[in-house]
Amino acid sequence: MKSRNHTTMFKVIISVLCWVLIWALFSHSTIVSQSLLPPPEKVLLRMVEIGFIHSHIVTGMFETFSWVVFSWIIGLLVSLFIGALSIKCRWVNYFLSILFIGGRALPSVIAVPLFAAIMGIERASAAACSIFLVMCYSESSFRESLNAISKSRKAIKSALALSLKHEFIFIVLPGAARTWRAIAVQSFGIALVVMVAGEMILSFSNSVGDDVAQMMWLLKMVDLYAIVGWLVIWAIVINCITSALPSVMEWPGQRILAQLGKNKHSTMEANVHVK
Amino acid sequence: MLNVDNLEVRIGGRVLKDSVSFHLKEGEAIRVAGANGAGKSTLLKTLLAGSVKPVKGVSFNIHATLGKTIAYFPQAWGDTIFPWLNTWDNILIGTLKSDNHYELYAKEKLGNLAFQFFPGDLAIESDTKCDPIWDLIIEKFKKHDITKLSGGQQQKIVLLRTLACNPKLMILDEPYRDLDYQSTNALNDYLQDMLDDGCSLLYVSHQDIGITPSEIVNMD
Repeated sequence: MKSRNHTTMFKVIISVLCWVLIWALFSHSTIVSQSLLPPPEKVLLRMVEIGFIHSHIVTGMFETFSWVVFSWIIGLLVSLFIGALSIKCRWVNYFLSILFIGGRALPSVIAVPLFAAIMGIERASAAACSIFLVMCYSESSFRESLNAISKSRKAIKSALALSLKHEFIFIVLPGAARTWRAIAVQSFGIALVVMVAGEMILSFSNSVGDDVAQMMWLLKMVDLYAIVGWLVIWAIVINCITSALPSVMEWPGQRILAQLGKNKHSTMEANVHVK
Repeated sequence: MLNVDNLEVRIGGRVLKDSVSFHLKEGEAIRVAGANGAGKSTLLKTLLAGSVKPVKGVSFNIHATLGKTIAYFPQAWGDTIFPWLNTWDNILIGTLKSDNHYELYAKEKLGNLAFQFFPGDLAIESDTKCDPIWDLIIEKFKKHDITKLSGGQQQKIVLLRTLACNPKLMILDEPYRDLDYQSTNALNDYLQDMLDDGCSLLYVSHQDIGITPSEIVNMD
């Protein structure tokens, strides 16, 4: 498993380096103007400039990411609740599915102003829009996943007659880990895109979205790319943390079985004595 | 061991068979036969469901009496695989319900069955003196990702897990379905050994196998 992770990481690093190389080639050649595509070294230097970090990253990025993480977690929790409710009450599923299909068809540039018109030009409007769209994309995955957990719980219960504690450790937690793997990255991406789009559209001060919009209009491409670079770095950090979560969920089961294996030799000795 | 009198087998609201009766004694085997959809698997599930609510027609609650010592191999065995565990842990988890999880390692017969199930993986090393037999199996299967095994190999792993709980009653639903000729013979020999040791067997199979059942329950 570890070697597979290393291979994946190696592949990602190689592809990132390839992209940077292509970027540098385009930027230093005369194909694309440097005012539109600044060279990567210039962008990297700007990213680590103290003044730039202080004015754009420390406050704006922190605030934006706090709201993104908040909307993401609330969106997922509500989706989980609605997914579970839909299994018990079919009509909830029929009733809400139209709304969720509509939500999935709605671009954020339309959804954010709609929420702002109802709730006012506040951060809460962008957050509510973000929560709603996270729900639209995650609820069906949660429902399917809960169905799958319930099906395998039934099958394993009759075959292995596990105790309630073991059912939770060996069926429910790993099932939740599988669901998390399937939806975490996608739903976080939705929360991030909608929140930044909301900040751009509603022009919130001290926000990544507003900074990006201003740099774009002023054609300050080095600053624009530097902000996007930081955005990507933070998104990668959060995705790395979330990708570690499934292993944490599977750990108790693996620990129980490892413990059984550890005691093997002492038992073998005991059997020999009995003989 | 297990007395069933006038058991009604139904799925949903539909009655598949209104009266099934058989008496399974220690060391005996009973085969359940019938066409597809006749209710063979449902009969086994009905018996096992006795752990939840008493079933009309069964003289005692089999799970309450034999719960920890029933080995049940379901027809949809694929649903019972743990893809996030390695192959060895998929076998070991079968011992969780036994009082003594470590009895598994004392079972040389089951170890031999594993050797015969996986001759390509285990037989060569078996020539080198390896004592106890489970050391080699553990070493090999710990490295295997169960999802990378073929359907037949996965079925053998589920069979080993099913039989790892030191059973007194084996309820097997089409255990031979995807097995090759050699594995079928190996399983036959193992089951016959278990019957000789006083274990009982209730199984569903479409074909006659090496075991001679004391009774055939026809679901048609």
